[in-house]
Amino acid sequence: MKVRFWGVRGFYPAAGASFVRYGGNTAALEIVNDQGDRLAIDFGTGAVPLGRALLGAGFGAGKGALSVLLSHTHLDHTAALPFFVPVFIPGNKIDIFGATSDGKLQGVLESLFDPHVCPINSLRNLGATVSVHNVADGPVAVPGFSVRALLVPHGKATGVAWRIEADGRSLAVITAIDHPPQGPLPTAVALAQGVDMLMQDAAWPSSPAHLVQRWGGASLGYAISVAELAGAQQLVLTHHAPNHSDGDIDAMLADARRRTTLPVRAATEGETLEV
Amino acid sequence: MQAVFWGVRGSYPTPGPDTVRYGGNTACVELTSASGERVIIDAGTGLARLGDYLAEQGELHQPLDLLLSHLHWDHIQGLPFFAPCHHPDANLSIHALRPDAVKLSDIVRGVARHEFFPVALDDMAASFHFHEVHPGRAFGARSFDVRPFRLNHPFGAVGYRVIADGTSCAYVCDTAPFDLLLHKKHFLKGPEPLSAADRRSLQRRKASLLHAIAGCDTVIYDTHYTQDEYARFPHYGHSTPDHALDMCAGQGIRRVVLFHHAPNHNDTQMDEIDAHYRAKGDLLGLEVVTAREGMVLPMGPGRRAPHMRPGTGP
Repeated sequence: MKVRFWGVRGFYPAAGASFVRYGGNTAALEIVNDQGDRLAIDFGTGAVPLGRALLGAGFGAGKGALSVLLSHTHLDHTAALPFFVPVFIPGNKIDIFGATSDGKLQGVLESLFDPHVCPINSLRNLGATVSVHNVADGPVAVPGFSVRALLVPHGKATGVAWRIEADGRSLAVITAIDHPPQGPLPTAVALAQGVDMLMQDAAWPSSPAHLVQRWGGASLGYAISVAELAGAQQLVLTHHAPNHSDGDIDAMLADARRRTTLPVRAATEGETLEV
Repeated sequence: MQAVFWGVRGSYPTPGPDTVRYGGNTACVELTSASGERVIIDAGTGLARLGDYLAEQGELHQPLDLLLSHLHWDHIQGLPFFAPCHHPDANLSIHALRPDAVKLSDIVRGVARHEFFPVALDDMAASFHFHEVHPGRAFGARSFDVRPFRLNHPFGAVGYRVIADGTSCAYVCDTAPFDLLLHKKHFLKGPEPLSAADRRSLQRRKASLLHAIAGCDTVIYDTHYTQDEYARFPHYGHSTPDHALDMCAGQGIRRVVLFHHAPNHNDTQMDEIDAHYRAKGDLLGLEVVTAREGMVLPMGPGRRAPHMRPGTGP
């Protein structure tokens, strides 16, 4: 199972020379198993170049199928939907899985295309077959992968943490979570139990309380705790804050490596990792 | 008066090494008068960086007017991350077209809601005031005189002529040209035949635009597409540099700023566009400038040349 990082930034894209090394696009991951089955996690601006890359993999001819797992519906995880070229090509099949606090993911995604904000006006105007699925805690049927969802608190929104298994390997992606003050959310630790790789939001390395409170998300301390308590083999820090330069992320990574003996890396746009 | 470009990109932000010189943030232009007052046009991701700058300057509490051309994502997505929105003493007046029966405040709140942003507009500390813009009806914002006019873009958009310090700047974004098709409220799969009423409507919009930009020091124009791209996507609501120069030539305008760059145009392509249209501008008696993130553009008599804000660019 391979993971490619198309977008690693949280909140909003970080454009400019200070963000070139780790990358400025918002959250998007592509996961491919050994048989070539593919899924994506989150649809921030990083999914725009993913969409272009997929045109050569059947999607250009309307023969593509992609499952998209959303951690939540904030724009840094959904903004690319109206700009993901495969959705305009008839024949492609896109299945979107996620959750919202009102249980109406279809309605929220529809309003992403509302005529006030988007000239496409409605999901119905997309050429591809786009199906939206609300998930609950538990297994989710995705071709080629064993997938489990866990609903987690994320401000007023509902986040979904994902565990993905294929080829005898396992990966947990926890990028939209407000852990309780006393420590990591136990259900999230359980979801990530023994994974080969844990991707955890660590937008706030030094956890200034007012920022975490305003924007939600997790600090580096929580990310390390989840990884250690879950017995993860490797920790990947992601959802970098948009004002953190490459140097700031280097410093966070160095700090993380002082604080844990686990292998830690910072998610980097354009990188592919073997799980 | 001077303009500072905080975001110059159209459609969606394009971070990365290939867009470092021209910039990857979506539309946001700050206009400042000699007295230090400011109005901001559009709230793309560039607005978040402007907010960080205002925080550094200790100016979060200054009353601000935000003129929105329309509410498409690339013109509004920076608003929830604009630092003044989270300051209890801040006062933001938001001016926008109301394209349908819904109240303007409800439209903006419906965009900046908790399903899409970590902090919804309803939960922000600042005071918000909403002002509906009527094309053709001038209004004041701080000491700026603002004259809105209707553009040709899906679901409606307005341009603004902003007057201060005895000089004028027009913001013409987003708009398609005024010949091939008329944008209304329905989804366009491609060009549709024009009725006689459509042609009259296009003529009216073109005339009001020409009237609004005549004699401006600087016109900032939606030049999203190259000619080839426009031929493929004429129904997406954007113009070309050739169209912008056609509109501005012979109108007593000193300078045209190419703006709202297509997300697929990297720095090398932008260099080519810049060189080509500067030369074309020379022939037409127009100074052509390609907008770059961080660019400062002084306007009016005796103005300095365009330059970059300290610490910006590659």
